Amino acid sequence: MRHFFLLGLLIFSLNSCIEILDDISFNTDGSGDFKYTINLSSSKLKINSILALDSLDGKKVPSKFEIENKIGELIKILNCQEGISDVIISEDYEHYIFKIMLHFENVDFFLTAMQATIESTGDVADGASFDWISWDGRVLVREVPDLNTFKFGMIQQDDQQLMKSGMYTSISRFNNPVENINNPAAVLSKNKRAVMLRNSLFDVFGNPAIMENTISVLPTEN
Amino acid sequence: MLILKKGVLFVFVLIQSSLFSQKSEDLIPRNASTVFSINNINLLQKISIDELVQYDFMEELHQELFDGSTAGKTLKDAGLDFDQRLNIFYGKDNVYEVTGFSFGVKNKDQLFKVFDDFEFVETLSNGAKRYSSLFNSLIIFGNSGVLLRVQPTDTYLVHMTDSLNYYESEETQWAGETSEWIVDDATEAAVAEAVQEPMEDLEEILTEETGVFKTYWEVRDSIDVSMQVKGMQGIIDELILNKISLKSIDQRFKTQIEKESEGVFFIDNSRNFSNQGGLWYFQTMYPIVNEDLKELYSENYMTGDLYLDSNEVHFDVQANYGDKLGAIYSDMNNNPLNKDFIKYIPADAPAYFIYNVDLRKAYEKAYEILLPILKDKKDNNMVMNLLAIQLLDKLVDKKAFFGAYKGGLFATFNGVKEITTKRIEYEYNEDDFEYTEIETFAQEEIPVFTIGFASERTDLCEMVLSDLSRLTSRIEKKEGYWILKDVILDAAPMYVVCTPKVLLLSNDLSLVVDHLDGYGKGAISKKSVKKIKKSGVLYANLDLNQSLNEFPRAFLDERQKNVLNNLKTKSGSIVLKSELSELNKTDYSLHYNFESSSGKASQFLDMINALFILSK
Repeated sequence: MRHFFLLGLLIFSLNSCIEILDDISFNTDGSGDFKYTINLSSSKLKINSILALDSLDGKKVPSKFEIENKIGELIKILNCQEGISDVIISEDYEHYIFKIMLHFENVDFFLTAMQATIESTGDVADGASFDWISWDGRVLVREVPDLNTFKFGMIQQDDQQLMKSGMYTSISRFNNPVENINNPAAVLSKNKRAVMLRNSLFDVFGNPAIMENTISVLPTEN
Repeated sequence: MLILKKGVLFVFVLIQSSLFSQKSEDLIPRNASTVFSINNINLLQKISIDELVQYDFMEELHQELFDGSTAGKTLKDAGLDFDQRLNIFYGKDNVYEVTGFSFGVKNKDQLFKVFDDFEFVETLSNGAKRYSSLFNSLIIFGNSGVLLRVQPTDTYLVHMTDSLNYYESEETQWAGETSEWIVDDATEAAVAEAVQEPMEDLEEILTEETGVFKTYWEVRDSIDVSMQVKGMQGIIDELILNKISLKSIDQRFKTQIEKESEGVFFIDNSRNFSNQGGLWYFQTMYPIVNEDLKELYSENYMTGDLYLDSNEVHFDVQANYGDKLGAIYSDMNNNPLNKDFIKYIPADAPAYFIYNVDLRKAYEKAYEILLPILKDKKDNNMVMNLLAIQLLDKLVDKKAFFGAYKGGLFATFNGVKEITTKRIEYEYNEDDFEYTEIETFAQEEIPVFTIGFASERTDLCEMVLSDLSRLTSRIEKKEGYWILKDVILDAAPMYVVCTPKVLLLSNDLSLVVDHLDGYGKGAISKKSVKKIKKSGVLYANLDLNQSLNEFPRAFLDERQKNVLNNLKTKSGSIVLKSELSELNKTDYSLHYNFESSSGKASQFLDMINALFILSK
């Protein structure tokens, strides 16, 4: 009866979507702050309906408690990483918005920490690249992780529709004004210290290179 | 000399006629408890084989037949005789699980071009040829073939080998090295009996003197393989050499398989019942009682026929059982239609069903039949349990209990409605791209349902909701109904209506605003009510156009979605109903009326396919 009732109630329209927002600030000393937000509030009906099931497509659906535990583990792993501090993960189960915030001493520490954390989940394919960012204090070369290297094999037709209407937003912030941006789709803020690049999540999945960007900033005046 | 020649010729003709009169349905082992048979003559005259092999149920066979090594080929290429039935079977007892299918063979050369994984093993004494691949055996006997897979059940394997595992664990823990095993005499004997290997052979494997050390899993695998060989040999001896098949020993199956309908199925619930893993505790603790209950199910079997008419597929199912079960079913199922259900089913509902059972009558009859069976037992536990059951029966107010939940229910699908959902978006400051979260609203569609439960004590629900409403503002009393806010997926309200005879749960606002006393003239027509009244415990109606388009596909896997997509292109209706339960059977029927440009055979196969996938 439970499943019958759920089946009846669980239909949802396909105009719901996923939004990913990555926001990274670089200081002149090489340190920085990273914020990563996954906003599933538009897919709330779908998530609630899936969480109400025991399994989907033969796979066990985790409970909220299990998700919380998993996130707790991730915090522990991140906090143990060298050069990483102020790790905060926020979970909003009313709107299904998940955020991670942390401070890194330099980009190498950041990348190493992310690799260790992601690999600990076991959700990444062998040989995946974690060389997403390089920053020498003047020139930032960045890309976004190739989401195809994660084990997202479960993404099926309906979910692809979700991604088509989803957005990936990447923001890079600097202390100094930006001098040059090589990706023509990127937009510079009025104060010239932030660059934003937005694309459809579906396109990012299909071609992660569209998020690649090289940004140079003016040197600090002594 | 002439007489001798005539004699030889006679024997030769006799053997040949015996060999070639063999049909695929004669090659279903008696161990099979579930058989699904497609009568190819009728079907394949109406549909091309190329189209047929696209269906999921054929694809399953493809996987099994072709074993992944002959991709791109079809059953057509495999030289199968489509003038014979295709029979898919499954059976399980306490030791073995048997699966396979039997079919006609038209061209053996083509068959083995496709089945290139099969290697010739032997010619049996009656001329049948045996071939085998990794897990399967294929036996060609005359113009028919049977593909068999026999495996010991996991439970039995564990039972036979668990002491090995125990000793291995102990050893591994103690030594901390690669495991070696020690085996006790009882296990050794049990294993030997299971595989019927000469004891010396087993000793040879088991003793340290051979210098062969194996882990538990290696030994278990060996036992598994030995049992497969033994099980397969047993079935081949019985089915092929001694010609003992399900058809030859079970008259019920013989009658069913000889029907000319396009498809038939046969399920022997009595054997399925005794092999239910979920009953292991009962079987272990109360083996004698279990035997009695088995007897209760001994005549329990189901048969089904699929027919194809001009624009209708109909599916007749007969559930058969013995007198004792029949008495329980009759009391439970044969009840007058609850009129309060009818008034809450709108005439334009795309789908609805009514399940009209009376649990109190079923309980009373079950108590009357089962108690004497159980009372015969002298077992301590059973006596105590029986005492508890009898005390509960005397002390609990059954009228109040079954008055609150009578068992009957109905459900309607009333289309879809839009609800407002909240979502979070980001607003960016153009100066620095800092952002703030803003709450926006969107419209999303959800299906509208009403479920009603027969109850004469809906005042109890009122009482519970009334008390709970003092604890939370999400439960609120309105004029004539209760509203439970955001209870559906944390986004939409549910309404509870406590009428004197029915407890209604719905997310249909129009029900509680405009139709608290029923839909009146807007309820289902008198003609429909008449049909429902004529049916037994179950009646369901589904308008394909309106309901399948809105079916929640997100909760189906890819294959099921495909089926649904196929059905979605059709229009028509499906009616499922039962007849009144009799002492030895209940008849069910499913009628699928279609209006489609595609051929009726396609419609028929779509239906089989849907049933196949949904029953997996």
